[in-house]
Amino acid sequence: MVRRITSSPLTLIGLVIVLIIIVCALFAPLIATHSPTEVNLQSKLEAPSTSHYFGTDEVGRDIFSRIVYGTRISLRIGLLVVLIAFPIGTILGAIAGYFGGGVDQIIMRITDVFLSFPGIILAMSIAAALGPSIENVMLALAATWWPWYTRIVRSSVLSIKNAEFIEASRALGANPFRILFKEIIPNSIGPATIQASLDLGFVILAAAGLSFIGLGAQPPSPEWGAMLSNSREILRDAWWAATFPGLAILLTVLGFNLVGDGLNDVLDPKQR
Amino acid sequence: MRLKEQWQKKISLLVVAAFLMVGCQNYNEESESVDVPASTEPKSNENYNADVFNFATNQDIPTLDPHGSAANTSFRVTYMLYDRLVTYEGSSTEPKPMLAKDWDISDDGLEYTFHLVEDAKFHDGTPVTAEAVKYSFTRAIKVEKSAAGIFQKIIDENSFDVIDDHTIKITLKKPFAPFVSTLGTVFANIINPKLEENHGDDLGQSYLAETDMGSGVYVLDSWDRGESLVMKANPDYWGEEATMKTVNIQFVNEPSTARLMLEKGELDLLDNTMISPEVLGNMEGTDGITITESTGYQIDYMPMNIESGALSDVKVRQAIAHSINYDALLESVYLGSAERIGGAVPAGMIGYNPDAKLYDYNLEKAKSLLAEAGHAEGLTLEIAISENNEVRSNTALLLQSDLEKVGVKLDIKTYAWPTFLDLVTSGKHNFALVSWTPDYPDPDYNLWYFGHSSSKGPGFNLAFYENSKVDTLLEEARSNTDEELRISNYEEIQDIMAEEVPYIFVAQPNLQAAGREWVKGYELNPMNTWYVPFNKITKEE
Repeated sequence: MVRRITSSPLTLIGLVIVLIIIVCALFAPLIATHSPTEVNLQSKLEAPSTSHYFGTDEVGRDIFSRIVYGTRISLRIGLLVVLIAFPIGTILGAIAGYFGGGVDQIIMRITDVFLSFPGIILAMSIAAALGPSIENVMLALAATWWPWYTRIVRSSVLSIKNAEFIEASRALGANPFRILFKEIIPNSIGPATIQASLDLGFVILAAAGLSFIGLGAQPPSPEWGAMLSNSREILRDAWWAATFPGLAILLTVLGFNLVGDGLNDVLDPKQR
Repeated sequence: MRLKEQWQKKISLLVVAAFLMVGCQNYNEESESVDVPASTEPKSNENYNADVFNFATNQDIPTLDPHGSAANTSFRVTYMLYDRLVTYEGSSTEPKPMLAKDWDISDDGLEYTFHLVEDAKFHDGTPVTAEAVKYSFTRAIKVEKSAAGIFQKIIDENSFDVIDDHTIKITLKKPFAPFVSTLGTVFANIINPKLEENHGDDLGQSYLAETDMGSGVYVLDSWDRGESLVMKANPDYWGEEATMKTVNIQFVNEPSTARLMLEKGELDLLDNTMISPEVLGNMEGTDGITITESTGYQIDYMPMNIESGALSDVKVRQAIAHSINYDALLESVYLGSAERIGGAVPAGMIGYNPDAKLYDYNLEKAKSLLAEAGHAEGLTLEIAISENNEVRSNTALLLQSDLEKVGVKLDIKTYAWPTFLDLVTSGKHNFALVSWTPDYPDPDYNLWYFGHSSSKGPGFNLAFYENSKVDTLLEEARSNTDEELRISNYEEIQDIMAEEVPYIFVAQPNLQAAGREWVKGYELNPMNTWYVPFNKITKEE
């Protein structure tokens, strides 16, 4: 499998990007050249130079250091949202698919309700209702993300629930929950996992979007979306202040997407 | 094999994307190189039209009912659609006659008799009479919104005597020196009494919200909410005819878009609050664009809610006042085009106290004051600001880094404007950042709102400040016409408030508005910063 991943150049690029981001997040204090939040009025809106690789913003903070620290925020949002949404979605999907009938109806109608809203609008309203903060953005995104996993898992459960090995364990007298957690979920989780790896990028993008409109990270937190939003008015006079956070978002989402795509190609039986 | 083909496809897509990006860049460079000679070409702009005035703002108009709104964007429009007894013009803060030719004031300062002009007509042709004046003021009081506040305790429904069609006597309950000044505000706009037919159950507020029933120099032509509002010159106006035949107020959300439109000549003038000093500085010197600058009565200040936790201790408030690096703030956020003041009365207005105590930037003193108050180990406070305001968000960031040095952790909370207003008027904040411009040039206005205990919360005493001495001084000054006594009261209030620091007055910024050079006759009014004399401005290329 490793060989298959490394043999495709785009996945490799994706992996490298993701690795860089993880390294940045883990060793942010070592990599950053300045404090991400320290205001320094003497050096505001300086163009990129050797002392400030990506220049400085309206109050003289070093943009390079802010972007490096920003990886922590973005990664944390991406991972936590997926880690909340994925288990909820998976378990509900498996229950709906396996038990069917009324339970299935109830669970799937609820997911339909969630899916009937455009995701970002629903997340916006939840985040606005809870009050602007990173934690609330994560809750809001998790709340809009789980139904997708429910759907995917349910459909793959439906396709294996009458398979022989399930029948066999049922015949052996295993209780339904044992069957669900030991047989059904492990064997139907593949597609949802691929989806989850793709979603990491999208979650980061959505969170940056919410921060851009002021619902997410609060100052002085070096969140990329918020940085972009704060600097867009001066884009024409100080291009670096908005461009680098924008590039950071672009590359991160691209990286996770390439990796997700690669995993999809590797894991999806139909593509093998 | 299939796998390979897929990768090839993806790579080629990537290559195409890369080309596209490069292409965009080329396009930009090209368009810029085309632009440069075009703009140096003398005096020709395809968007120039001497009869149409294009104005841009990024704040929506809530309502056109002059009695129902305190929003500057509404003021700007209703000041043109309606007439008042007196009015403010140009950069003057002295009221000038408008519908009232002249007026007599009785010796006790209680009776005001106004003589109205005889040829004024509302837009539907009905003459403007003393009845209309009585109707308008009575309605302003009954609507009980922003307009009612300035008449509170001064006049009520029974204060009016219609003497004849063009004479009205208003009897005040107490002498109130700035009374004539208040009649020049938007709240004193004269409305056609025919509105009564459309009163409904809200005194016609919903009806008047989207229409005009005035006698003003402009008539409302069309209003597409969130897009544009168009006014046309009133052909039958009783006074001087308007110079700009059409006024088009456009709502442009992004300041950077507005800047581009201005540079292309699609706009003539931008709302003065729209562009941050930072960007204005960069716009200076752009061909065809001029920045109008003027001193103003605007004050940017920080209320400290004295009813909440640590800030109820005056030592903590003084410590905060000592820990702000004011010079750096004025220099970097306002780029030097602002002054620091000690009290709530702006420099240039009567009653300004130049000797009010200014706190110096002194971290040691701040730390020892905090220690005395029992916060040696530090504390955490919140500052509330409204979104989309570069000056406030940058100020908040500076305060955050200043206060950190004395062990105060400041959390910045950004809210949409309505949420923000609700939060600060209900006292759920520690600190907030607000701007304020008086509606009539009298210290009573600022100090009553900021200092009187009855103004707490919705009355805009956002510090929830209460001091019986200040209350007494304010009430005495409000009901007295002795100028000297009033001024000495107001100065004393500023001294008391500087000592107790319910507010920190961060800056009295200069007003700056970006517009085309071809706009002639635009001045910023220090008080009515929103005021644009569309009817007097001319365009000359």
